[in-house]
Amino acid sequence: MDLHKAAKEEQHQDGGVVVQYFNAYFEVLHRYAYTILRDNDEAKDAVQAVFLKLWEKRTELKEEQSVKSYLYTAVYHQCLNMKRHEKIKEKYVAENNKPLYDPGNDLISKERSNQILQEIENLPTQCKLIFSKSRFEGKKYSEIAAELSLSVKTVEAQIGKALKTLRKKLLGIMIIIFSFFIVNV
Amino acid sequence: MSIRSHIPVDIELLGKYLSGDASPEEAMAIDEWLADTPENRRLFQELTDIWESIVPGTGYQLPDKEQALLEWQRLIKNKDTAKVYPIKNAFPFKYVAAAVLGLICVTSAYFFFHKKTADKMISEVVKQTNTEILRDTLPDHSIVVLNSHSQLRYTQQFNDSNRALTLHGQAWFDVATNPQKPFVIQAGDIHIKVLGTSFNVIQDSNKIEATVKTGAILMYKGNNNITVKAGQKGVFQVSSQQFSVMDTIDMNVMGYATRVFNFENATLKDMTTELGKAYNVNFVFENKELENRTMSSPFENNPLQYILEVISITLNVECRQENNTIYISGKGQN
Repeated sequence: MDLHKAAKEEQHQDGGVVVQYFNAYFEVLHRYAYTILRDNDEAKDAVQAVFLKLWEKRTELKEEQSVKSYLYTAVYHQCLNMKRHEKIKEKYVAENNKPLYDPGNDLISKERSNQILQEIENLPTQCKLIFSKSRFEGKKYSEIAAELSLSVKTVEAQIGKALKTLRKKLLGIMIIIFSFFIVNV
Repeated sequence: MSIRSHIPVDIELLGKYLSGDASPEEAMAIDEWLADTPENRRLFQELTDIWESIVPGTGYQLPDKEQALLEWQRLIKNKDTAKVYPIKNAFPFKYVAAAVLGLICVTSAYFFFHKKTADKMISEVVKQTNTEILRDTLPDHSIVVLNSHSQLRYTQQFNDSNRALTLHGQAWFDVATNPQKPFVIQAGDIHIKVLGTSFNVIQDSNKIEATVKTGAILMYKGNNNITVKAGQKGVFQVSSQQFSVMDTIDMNVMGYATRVFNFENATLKDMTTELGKAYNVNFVFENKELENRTMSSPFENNPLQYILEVISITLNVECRQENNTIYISGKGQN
């Protein structure tokens, strides 16, 4: 009996390999789950639930690549299920209907956010509309496409365009803020 | 040794990811791309900053990994040793906890005084679909996708000592492994026993078919049984009461759940029927002649828009989407 193989099998049985996967993929999976759920805790729950399932399958794990694909796909489905069950979306929309900024003391982020909001205002009409539906109303690309009778490709392109424009403008803002910060220190 | 994804990463795709619209494959491609260079990570960080700072709130925060791992290990322990299962995360715990507590008091008193009748009152969970398709997670974390006009039933005791359910119609299962609690589906008058696998079941008055994608299942009735492995299809003919195993499977029968298709010389009508279920859209042929045009193409969980483009280009037709309806028009001459 191949000792190495035996050790490996034992590891499969006790689930140690699952812990390794947890350590390796928790971060990227959590970030992915967050993009769908928009809630740090929910995202953590989703990833933990997926690893619970992986743990149940620990005796049949094969090469890393297929486990990795499994994890991403499972997180995706888990999130969609949770999203439907918990109506996170309603909560998300309700939260975003609050006044955009509480008078905070975080000068930099407030200043910057106002600048970005201003830049969003300056986007071409269509681009602004699509970007706002995605970012402020939390709508899926397919929903936006259906609502505006556009293709999903167009929505992708318009949001890409919005980000490209905002990034270009933001680079300038960041430098201004940065120098402002240095001067005031 | 890892296989690189061939999805190119650009700002459009990153935007899609930040919007929560990226497919698992796309998310994987982005994470690989991020690991490549510091420039990539910087671009991603810039876009994330823009995205997050527009809307108030804490924004993205990576939880403490050690803490998350400890919590997860506790979940496993509970699962293994006690009969107490962690309440499903999907449960709006806070709001109903008090109500449930009250209910437990009342029902336990009721059970205490009426034990005999209570035993008969095993309530059942029934999931029924009409034209829609239902994607759901069972109490044991197995995933089920119930095709249209199908019904799935199980008792509240599901997952206590075994996992038994009854299926009428068609469903896809991705079963969570648990050798202590076999997952048994009753379809017609046969049983299908599973240890941990994914497969599709079609039950109608003539036959019961189980197509296995991964793992293996046991189909049985009385002493008659067959084992069906990944890549095989097990069939039970109701008229002859015979089981048989076939070595070829048609991935398309599971397409409504997996979105994996391999169309070979399929008519556009057949393709749109399958795609409509998988993507929850309706197809309308503005030119009926197009229904019989045929084409061949594999699709692996691609965005619908991509599939429509392939169809448009291959058959020289036009696909126009309005809400959930896709209109197919054109002369259709190559």
